[in-house]
Amino acid sequence: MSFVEYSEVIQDSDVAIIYLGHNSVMPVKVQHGAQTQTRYGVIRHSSDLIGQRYGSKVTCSKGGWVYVLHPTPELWTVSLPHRTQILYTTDIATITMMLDLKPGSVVCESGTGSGSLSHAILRTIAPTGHLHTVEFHQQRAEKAAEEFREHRVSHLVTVRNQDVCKDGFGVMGAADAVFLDIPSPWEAVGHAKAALKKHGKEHVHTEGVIPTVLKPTRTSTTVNTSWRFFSKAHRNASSLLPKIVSLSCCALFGMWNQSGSGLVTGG
Amino acid sequence: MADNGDDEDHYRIKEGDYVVLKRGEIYKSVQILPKKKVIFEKQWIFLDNVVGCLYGNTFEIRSGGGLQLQNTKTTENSKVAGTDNRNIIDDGKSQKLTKDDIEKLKDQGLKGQEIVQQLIENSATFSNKTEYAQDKYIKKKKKKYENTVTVLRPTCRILAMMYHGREPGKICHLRYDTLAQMLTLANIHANSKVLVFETCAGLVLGSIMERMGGHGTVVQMFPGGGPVRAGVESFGFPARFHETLHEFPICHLNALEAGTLDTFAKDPDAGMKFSLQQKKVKQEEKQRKLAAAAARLDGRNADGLVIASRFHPCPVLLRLLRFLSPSRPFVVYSQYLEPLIECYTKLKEQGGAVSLKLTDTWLRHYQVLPNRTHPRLLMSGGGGYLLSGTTVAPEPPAGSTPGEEPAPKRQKLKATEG
Repeated sequence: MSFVEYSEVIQDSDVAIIYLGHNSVMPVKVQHGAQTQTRYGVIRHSSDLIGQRYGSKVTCSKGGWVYVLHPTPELWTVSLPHRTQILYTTDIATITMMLDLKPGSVVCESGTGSGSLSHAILRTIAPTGHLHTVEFHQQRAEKAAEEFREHRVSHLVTVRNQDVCKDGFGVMGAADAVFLDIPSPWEAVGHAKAALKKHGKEHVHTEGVIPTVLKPTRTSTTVNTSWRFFSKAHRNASSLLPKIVSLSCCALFGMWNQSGSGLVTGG
Repeated sequence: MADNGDDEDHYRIKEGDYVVLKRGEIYKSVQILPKKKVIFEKQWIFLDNVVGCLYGNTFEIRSGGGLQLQNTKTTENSKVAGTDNRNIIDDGKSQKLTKDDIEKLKDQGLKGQEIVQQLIENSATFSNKTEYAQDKYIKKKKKKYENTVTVLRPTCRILAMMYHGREPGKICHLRYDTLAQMLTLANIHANSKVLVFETCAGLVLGSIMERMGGHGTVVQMFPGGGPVRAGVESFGFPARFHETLHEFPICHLNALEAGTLDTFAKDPDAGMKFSLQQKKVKQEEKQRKLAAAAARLDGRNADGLVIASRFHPCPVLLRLLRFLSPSRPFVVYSQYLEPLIECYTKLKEQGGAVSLKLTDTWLRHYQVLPNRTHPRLLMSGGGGYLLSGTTVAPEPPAGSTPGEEPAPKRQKLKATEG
């Protein structure tokens, strides 16, 4: 098992995703002798998980059953323990495309937060790319690094515990793409530029819609040019009843031009 | 520093490259061939001069050529500006230059930038406009008179925007953000085996190949005679990417499953005017490819399934799902909602899939300028719908192992730790 490659059979020290029902998933660290409590009963790792195929049905002690799924960044996003507000798959998908991420891309990201986007980036840039992620909160940085190790992706990522606005990303002229999701993105724009390869791409993301319509403008005046701006609303029609439209985050895309004198509209 | 000679080379345009020409929001995919005339936005241009330049550069179109555009920031914002438009009368007489005058300027060989400057100087009301109005005016004139084209390296994003803008009918009106959702929900990544069934001119296939980076396998199922892959060429993949791509005719699926796939079938277009020797070689090649694709499918262990076509997705989906391993994602795109509702219902009945979600996304572009940030328009409902889910181990047939039914009360399992 790893978050960047599939495997068939559950093994000790894997991370598996238990599917309990629609909108109900939980991650589990598989260990010999361990047990996991669910509302359907107990799952004993040694007998019920280890050696079973991913995707199998597992019957729990009380008689109910669950499915065990192979971890993917999408499943991780909806089941990970939140340390911060995270990005969800809808936005992550758009970000991945707009930053032209693919195997071999080198990406700089700040802040790491709970690692939702980080895992998705790692999946896309594997096996030859690298992610440099910066988190100024020490515990969150450590927790993220720990998760990357458990998920067998730590060879693809470097976590730095520093303030990106003061100290940058820790790399110069190496990144194909930069992603900023921090309270004051305009302060990090200079470091973003330094981290980018001469022809890289940058993306500034800001949470929420109304309060931060100001953010992209301020960031854009920092570099004195115009950006293109996307916002997405995701409507889930699975129950055939229209749910409330939830406006998810706005994102701002730009691309440094040749001489690096400013950003031009992406594309 | 990562920018050494090698990297530079990678960013330079070479002859034979597939590139995308861009002006404003208009994109066009072309191949750089020597002395080849290319039409772009009602103008003929030759691309010979761009070879050797960096991608992303903007070129001016002279009479039939391309030249590098200097980074001119000569839009001298005249300090003179008005406060509002109460005294500006739109009588069509503010501009002193006539259409003929402008044509004369163009013939004299004036650059777009200079024409705009002339227009500004000859406009009676320009200095009465507010600063923002002046900006808007200049932008509008630039759009009309600047003869520039930017040369870009093709990526999934750019090609998806191009197809959506130019020929949405060819890609079943798949909007680019919906395509982004598909690639992520299906967990497309290197070193996996993906099955694709698409009639989107190869755009979906190419995007998947880009996200796999030449590692892994893609098997394209196709209806009819042969797969349509025009879009894949536009990506400009290196040759080794094509080694990971296989195709398999969907009409032969029955035979494959029954084990009776005849890889020595007679070539249907045997009436072509090739020599016997050539025909034999072609036939053998075809059979070899078919056998290779069949081998990829036989294991029933694909890692992902993506469907995006003008055909009704239900039969295709139900047929192809069994070629996936358990615990693997699948995504179905449809321009309309109703076929996906059918798929959803059928899947719920037959089982074998969890986490089924039927979604569509809305997209809104914003203009971002200081003090002028606002949404432009809302694109909704026009991007198509997605059905996504994850496969699970299929249910054993009813009645075969009654002991597996969840009993109301079970005896405690014996401890088997260690």
